Amino acid sequence: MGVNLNLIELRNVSVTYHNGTDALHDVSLTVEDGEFVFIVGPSGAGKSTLIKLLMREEVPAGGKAIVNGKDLGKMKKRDIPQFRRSLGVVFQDFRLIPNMNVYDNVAFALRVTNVSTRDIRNRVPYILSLVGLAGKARSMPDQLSGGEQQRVALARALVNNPRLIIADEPTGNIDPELSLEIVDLLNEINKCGTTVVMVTHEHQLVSMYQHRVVTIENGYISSDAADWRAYARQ
Amino acid sequence: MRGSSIGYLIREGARNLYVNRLMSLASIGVLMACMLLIGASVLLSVNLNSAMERLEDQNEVVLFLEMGTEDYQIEEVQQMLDEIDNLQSVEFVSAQEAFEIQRERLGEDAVLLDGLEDDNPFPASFQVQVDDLSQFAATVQELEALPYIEKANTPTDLAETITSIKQAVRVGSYTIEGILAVVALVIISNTIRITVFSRKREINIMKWVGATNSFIKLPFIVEGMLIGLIAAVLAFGLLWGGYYLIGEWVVSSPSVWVSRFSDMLVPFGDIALRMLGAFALTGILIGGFGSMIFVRKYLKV
Repeated sequence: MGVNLNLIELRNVSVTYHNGTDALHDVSLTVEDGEFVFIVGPSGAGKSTLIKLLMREEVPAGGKAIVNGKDLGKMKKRDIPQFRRSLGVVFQDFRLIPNMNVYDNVAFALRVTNVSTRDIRNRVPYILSLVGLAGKARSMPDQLSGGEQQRVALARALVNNPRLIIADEPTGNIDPELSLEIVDLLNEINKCGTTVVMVTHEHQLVSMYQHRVVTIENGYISSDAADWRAYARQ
Repeated sequence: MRGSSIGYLIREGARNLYVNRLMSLASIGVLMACMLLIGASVLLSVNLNSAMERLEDQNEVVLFLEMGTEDYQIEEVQQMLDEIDNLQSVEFVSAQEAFEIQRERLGEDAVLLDGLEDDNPFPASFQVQVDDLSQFAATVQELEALPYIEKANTPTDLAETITSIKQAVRVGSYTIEGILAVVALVIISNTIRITVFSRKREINIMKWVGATNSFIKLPFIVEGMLIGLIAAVLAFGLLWGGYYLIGEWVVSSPSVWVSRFSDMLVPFGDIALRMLGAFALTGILIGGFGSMIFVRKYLKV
């Protein structure tokens, strides 16, 4: 294993939608193992497309995209599931399964990846306690607050021990005072060595951490700052 | 794939079945109707076959003599019969004997014949056993050509009738089964489509967390197989019950004509195991393949 392994390496990547409009043009971005990167920019700028590209939901139309050591452009369809297991993804709308309780929502991510029942029983309570939901294992999603639901989603993203966490506006549907909790959790996870890429448009949140800030506008990377101070100076 | 995963996927399939119980019920119903028809036609042809075999054992031709045939005329016929080859035995049953036989056969209802002793409605007859069955038709022709013969009752009449009934049953049931199989496939595919739509969100989440396509598809295939299996067991149970009731009816029927068949009915136990096996297999295959084809179409995974 290289010391400075790049978890994400995009070189002149473009993504074109089916209707012919470009969503990303000529994007180059490198994220090293262990980094925490905020992706900011106005809505419609291409942030969500970038997330979809990183999950291999969109295919690069040009350039080279390597995530977690895998070349997305050359990836075969049947290798996609294996690749996605190496990622943890958190969405703005949580995307929990409404008729499963908290425990099963998290266990679900392990079940689909062929983990034994015994390992599931060991791992899920541990992850739930990590995100502060140890007492809510039997609750249904609709009995939880937005912040709690997002923590369930985060637990689900973490339970497979991914090297890369991708968070798409994770605080977008949460009360502002609870948003910080979520980002703090992501920050803790990052301190343990997991790489985090978080899309957000909440500048206030960005300014509370000393993390790299990448701006996307009109499908281009318009700035790449080492932290929010550098970002604010631009 | 691990044992625990397979258990989980089967549980998921069963859960789908319950969650979409209305559509599941519709699919089970149609498939069951299919199998009931197939089963009924199988039972019918099994019984017709056994009846045929029994008839073939009876190589007996009954030659009814014209009413009022005189003794010397009967003597004449007897002599002509002796000259025909290919006869095992010839037995004469006089009108009086025929009357007694019928009286015995009727048992309690024998009173019906009271007062008819002097006006015997039964003709005298020769009961002839044919030796070589391959020459049966030719021999019968010879027998029919004899004088004073009112009518020759041969098992071939009945055999031909049964053969044509068998033919009609076969053609009719193939047509109906073909139509029903298409209907069953359409309904099963619709059930699976509804399940897929109602679980679109779950399926997407499965894809994001890295579930393989087969993992996503398997619960749907299990669901289809369960539909087939349940339909098979229900159809089998209904057929058994129905067959039992028909058997009861035949045995206890006041009609002499119907109760004659009571010892001809093939016991259900003789074919039960094979029928259950065939039903279960067909049900599982139709259900499994039906959902396999359509889940691919609707899921695009």
